[in-house]
Amino acid sequence: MDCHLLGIRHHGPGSSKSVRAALKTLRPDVILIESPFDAEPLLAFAGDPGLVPPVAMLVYDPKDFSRASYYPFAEFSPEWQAIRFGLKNGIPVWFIDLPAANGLVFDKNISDRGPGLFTDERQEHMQRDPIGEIALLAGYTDGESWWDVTFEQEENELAVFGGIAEMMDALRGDFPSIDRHTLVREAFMRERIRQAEKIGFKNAALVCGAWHVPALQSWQTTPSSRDRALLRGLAKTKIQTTWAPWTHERLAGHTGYRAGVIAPAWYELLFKNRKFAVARWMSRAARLLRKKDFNASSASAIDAVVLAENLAALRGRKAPGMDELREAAWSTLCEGNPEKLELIEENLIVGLAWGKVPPHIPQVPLQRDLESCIQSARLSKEYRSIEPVDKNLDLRNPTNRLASQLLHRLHILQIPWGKQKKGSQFKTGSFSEHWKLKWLPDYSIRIIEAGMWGNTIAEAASAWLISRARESNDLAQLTSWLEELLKAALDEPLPVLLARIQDQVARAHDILRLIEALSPLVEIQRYGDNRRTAQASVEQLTGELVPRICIGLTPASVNISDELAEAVFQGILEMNRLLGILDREDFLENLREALKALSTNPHAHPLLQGAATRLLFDKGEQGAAGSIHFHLSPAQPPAIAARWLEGFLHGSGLLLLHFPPLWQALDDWVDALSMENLTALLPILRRTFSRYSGAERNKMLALARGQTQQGKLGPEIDEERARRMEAFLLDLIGKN
Amino acid sequence: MKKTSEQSILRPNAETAFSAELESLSKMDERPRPANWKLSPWAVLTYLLGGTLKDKTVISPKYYGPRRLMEIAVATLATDRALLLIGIPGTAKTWVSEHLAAAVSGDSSLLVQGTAGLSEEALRYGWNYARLLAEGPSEKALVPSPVMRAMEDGKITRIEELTRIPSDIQDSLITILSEKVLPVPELNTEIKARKGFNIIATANSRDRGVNELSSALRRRFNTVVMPLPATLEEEVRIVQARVEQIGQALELPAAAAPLEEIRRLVTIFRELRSGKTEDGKQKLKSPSSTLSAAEAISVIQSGQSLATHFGNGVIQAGDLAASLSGAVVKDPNQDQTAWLEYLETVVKERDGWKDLYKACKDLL
Repeated sequence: MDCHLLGIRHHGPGSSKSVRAALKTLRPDVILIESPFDAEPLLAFAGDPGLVPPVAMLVYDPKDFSRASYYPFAEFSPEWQAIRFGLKNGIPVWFIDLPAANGLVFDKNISDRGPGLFTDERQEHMQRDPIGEIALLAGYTDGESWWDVTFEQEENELAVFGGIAEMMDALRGDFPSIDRHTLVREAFMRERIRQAEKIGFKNAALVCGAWHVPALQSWQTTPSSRDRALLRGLAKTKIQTTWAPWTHERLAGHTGYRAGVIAPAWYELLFKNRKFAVARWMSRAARLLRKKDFNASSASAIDAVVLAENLAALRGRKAPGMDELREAAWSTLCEGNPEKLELIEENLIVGLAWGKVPPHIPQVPLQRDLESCIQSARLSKEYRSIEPVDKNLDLRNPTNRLASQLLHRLHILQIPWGKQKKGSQFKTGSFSEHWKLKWLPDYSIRIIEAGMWGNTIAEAASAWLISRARESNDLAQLTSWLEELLKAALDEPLPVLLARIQDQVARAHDILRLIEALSPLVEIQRYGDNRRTAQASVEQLTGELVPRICIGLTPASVNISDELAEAVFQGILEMNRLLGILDREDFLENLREALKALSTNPHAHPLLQGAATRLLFDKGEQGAAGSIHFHLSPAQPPAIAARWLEGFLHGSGLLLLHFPPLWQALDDWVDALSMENLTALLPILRRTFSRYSGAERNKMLALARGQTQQGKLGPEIDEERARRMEAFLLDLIGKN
Repeated sequence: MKKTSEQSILRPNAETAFSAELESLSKMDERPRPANWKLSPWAVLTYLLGGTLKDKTVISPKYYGPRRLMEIAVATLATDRALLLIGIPGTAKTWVSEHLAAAVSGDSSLLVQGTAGLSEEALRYGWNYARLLAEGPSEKALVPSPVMRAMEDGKITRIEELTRIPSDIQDSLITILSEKVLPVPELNTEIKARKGFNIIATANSRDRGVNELSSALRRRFNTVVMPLPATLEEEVRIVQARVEQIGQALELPAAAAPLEEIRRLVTIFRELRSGKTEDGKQKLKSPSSTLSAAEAISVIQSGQSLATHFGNGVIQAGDLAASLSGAVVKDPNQDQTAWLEYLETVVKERDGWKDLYKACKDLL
């Protein structure tokens, strides 16, 4: 059998073109490709018109998702071109590389590689992209332009591959030590070639990375027994395969564009229209800038092409490569502006292309459920969008509510498709959510990974939460899950989560954490979980939490810093709000007692004392008013008094306006301050008063002026008119 | 005008100072030269970035930054777009433009200094009024600008601080750059540029209140943004090399500026400029002053001359302190605090920097 070795550069458009031409001339009866043998079933879908590259073959171990490999193909990948050529012309296509079942569990740590000529890293580069490395040695940072210069003029495409084979021969001569993984793979590939011969193929074409050419060339001279010995006893696992959509961004590598690394958008252009690629690329760049409302004339594009050519000449290269294009565009079209260059890099060097996988290709059940969820939530457009999409959800709308639940459930499964925008921190009670949606291709593997938790998104998210909750001892974490769970509308994990929280509450000391935990519990009681299964346990837990918080309040307020006091202050207000919602007499009594203890404890932080006094005052404790004079008496250090005031006067200013004794006490206190003290206290006072509404402040100003002029507060009350109003107000609050 | 003898010139032109290098480059250069260029683009690049020629002549590097930028600059000059060098003060814009002109045209003297008061005559042509009155408009009565002379001779002309020139005056460059023609309507004629003519302009990106280029003019320029030195070592090397060169002209002994002092100074400049210490552990206030490599050079120089003329011949902390404080504190309010904080929190604590701390504190 004749076996023609077509050594290629992975994802090299130049290689692609040569491979296509070579296949046309050779007319082989079988095409062998360096891809895992056990991924072959995927070939059945490769001819599907719905499968649009960039796509990746995904091979994974269904039991351990950390073992997974992607084999991405772009339109311009030589392997992809070879596969499509085979399918179109009815030529059988074989995958001949070591099965992923072995590859995924191959122990690469056992390195019997001796000391090499280069560092390990360099050697790895050399194996992956030997042509790129040779180009670097020749002074080209972009492998493709070197390819152009070296091979583009060849008339006979087969001669190109002859040249590559010779080059690799020489190169591998310099690398006497090759790691075992590579040797095993090459042994397997040789075995497959022999198999093809045995079956009776006469004329095989083999597409593989250039690096392997010399090793595979020897398939006839290397004894088969030696290869088989190498392959004996390899570890093995079960695998599953599927196609996954891929992107140019991912193809370019994780770190974006680097010199010498694949530039997918540019390669695509090279593949489709090699002859005028430079001019086309530059005019695309100009159009792109114009589309984004920058100045970019055709004249500038022409000048940029000239500059790129000059740069290439100056660097002794025959044609401009990626670097020259980029630098010329930067200096000419972008006018030295780095943001414009970034735009060009993103669109025209890396590219925004996004692959498609048709729905009938076998997928894990979870993926199917995801897609149907996406459909019923009407998020299909966002799912397919390449660029991030902003989405506002109105939770009163059933479809939008589904969308919100889906996004929250995915969040639980560590698939942050949607990121909730800052400033929309919401309670379940409010009805709008703002999301930024961007689907990343590696979420596909996470979906598959999450498949172990269940076959629907809801099931998987519940199972995941339950298992994590059982392990977690972190109250804050458990509480945040409780909130997530409410938003994701999952009921199942609720009992487990509540039980865990109950455990942790008993051990917790920090009342702020406890208040945090209380908040979602109150939400549940207010709005209810869907099936009302957990109502009793929620009530019980609340019944434990409230007294604990109330008892802890005073100890938590004594001898603390201003910063901590601020946090406790917010906690007290939240607590007050939550208990107001619950409106249970026993809880309110608990709170009242706690606040009383706090307001009279001389060691408590003045801010909190003030806040407690005010809350008591609001609850109708008349005794509270008396403490105003106490706290504002001259013996009290002014700084402490001001802090106390800040706590007392929080919220609305109406109290000051309508409670003359308070106004009077404040007025007296300010009068008595020395100028020096007043200056020192102004920031605190200003902060206190700046929280009031403009109208309130205006009234206070009027009050302050009026008092100095007339010494009298507000207008006289007209009893007659007040009585008429009273009946109406009583009607309004339904007490008539 | 009396011709000054070469030795007594304070600062000779680039083409004079490096005439030997230019000559041997020209001799060894076998690559094709664009019309009216003294050297091939490749040789211009070698002149700028340094190297050793086949005949063992050593070419000293003139620019220490990224090679790619210089490649873009040289390649631009060979196209029909003009070159615009942009950067904050002290990033070697003028320096590069002078050497480019010297290497390409063998003449860096065709220079227009951009100012707010620049008139159109400085970019186009003026008149010898005595002659104009006596003989009427004629070519003899015309007083050519550097730009016009460069067009006639096919040379590079330099425009410094392009953005300081008022916008309407700037725009008179548009025809010159796009049509390569300077019309002289008074004589019903025009000056056509010869091959090799081009413009190198520099502009400062730090100053406010400058006249931005109109987009029509802007697109006739290729822009190269000049960066600050990337690493401490690179900056030390630049400062040291320049200090040595200038020191020769000013007849100051090179030994007066030891490497250690230069390193110390550059460290201070870099830290203050970037607002953090070199080890990245401490955040600092940045003063409003530019603190470029060029300023570091001048601080070292004044220290050098203090040490040579008043001290023991080698720079001590005290010699540096005076001009160092002056370079940092440009705005007496803000910069003073930044500098004081830096002295107290960084200089004071650093091993072996006590002398500098004391010297600087004494001055405050």
